[in-house]
Amino acid sequence: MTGFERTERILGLSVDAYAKAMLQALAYRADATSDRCWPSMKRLAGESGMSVRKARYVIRELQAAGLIDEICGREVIT
Amino acid sequence: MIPADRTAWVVDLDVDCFAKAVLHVMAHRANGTTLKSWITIDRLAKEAGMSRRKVQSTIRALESAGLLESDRSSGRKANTYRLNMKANPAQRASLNRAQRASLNRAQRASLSASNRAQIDIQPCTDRHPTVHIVHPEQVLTGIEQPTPPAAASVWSIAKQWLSGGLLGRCIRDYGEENVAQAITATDLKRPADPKAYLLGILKKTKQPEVTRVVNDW
Repeated sequence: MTGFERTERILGLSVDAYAKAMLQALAYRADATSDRCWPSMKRLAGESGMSVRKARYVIRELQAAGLIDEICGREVIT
Repeated sequence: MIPADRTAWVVDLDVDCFAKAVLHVMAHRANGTTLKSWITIDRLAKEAGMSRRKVQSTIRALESAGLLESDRSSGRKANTYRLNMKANPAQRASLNRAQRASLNRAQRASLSASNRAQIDIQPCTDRHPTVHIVHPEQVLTGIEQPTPPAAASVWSIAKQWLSGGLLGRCIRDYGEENVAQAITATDLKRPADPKAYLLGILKKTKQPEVTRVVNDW
């Protein structure tokens, strides 16, 4: 999935602003073929504009919603 | 400019997640060369995942930060927003930090040195004032003590640290003269957290009027 398609899909989702900012930050880091990325929580928080605590919470929510998978610390956007 | 560059710009900005969500939508929808997007508040609200009200206040905040220019003159439903990618507070802030660090290092090294470089402090040239070192090669050997800023620029310096409302409240509580003196002192000292330092000085100089009245009773 290209970056453009990924952004298009994120914009079409009906989730809140925190989740969108986080997904955009993840999508920016994601690999084009495998859709995977390995950012640190600190980097994710900085690039999505929230605190590390909030970032962790949002990531957990996104996992629960099935929008991302976490495999031993690596994020996979689905 | 390709969308990835704009996304990179948004991701690197030092703004909160609401601003980022709005900017991501605009960056995605913007024209590649003009950086203009033509989009309604309703659509922004839906695609950024927030309420219309929050979108409006975020846009206003982004405008005052200089990251966004909007054009409401068309009188149509959708406004035109232009991403101002030249203004990048994140980059400037890091530049300031680096420059300030080199300044502090120089100050420590050169308290007794006689060789002096000139420091040009420009407090009100734009929204994000920067400290320009005129002779960077001389800074490591010695620098001049920064001169107290002129009365008019005192307030513009203070605006970097405090919001307008807080500054106004300080002036009301502590008096204009005291606040100006405190700002000058803070500017000369350049602490890590100017806001806390400034408020600390003010608290030391004089109790706020309100508390004194209560104490008199």
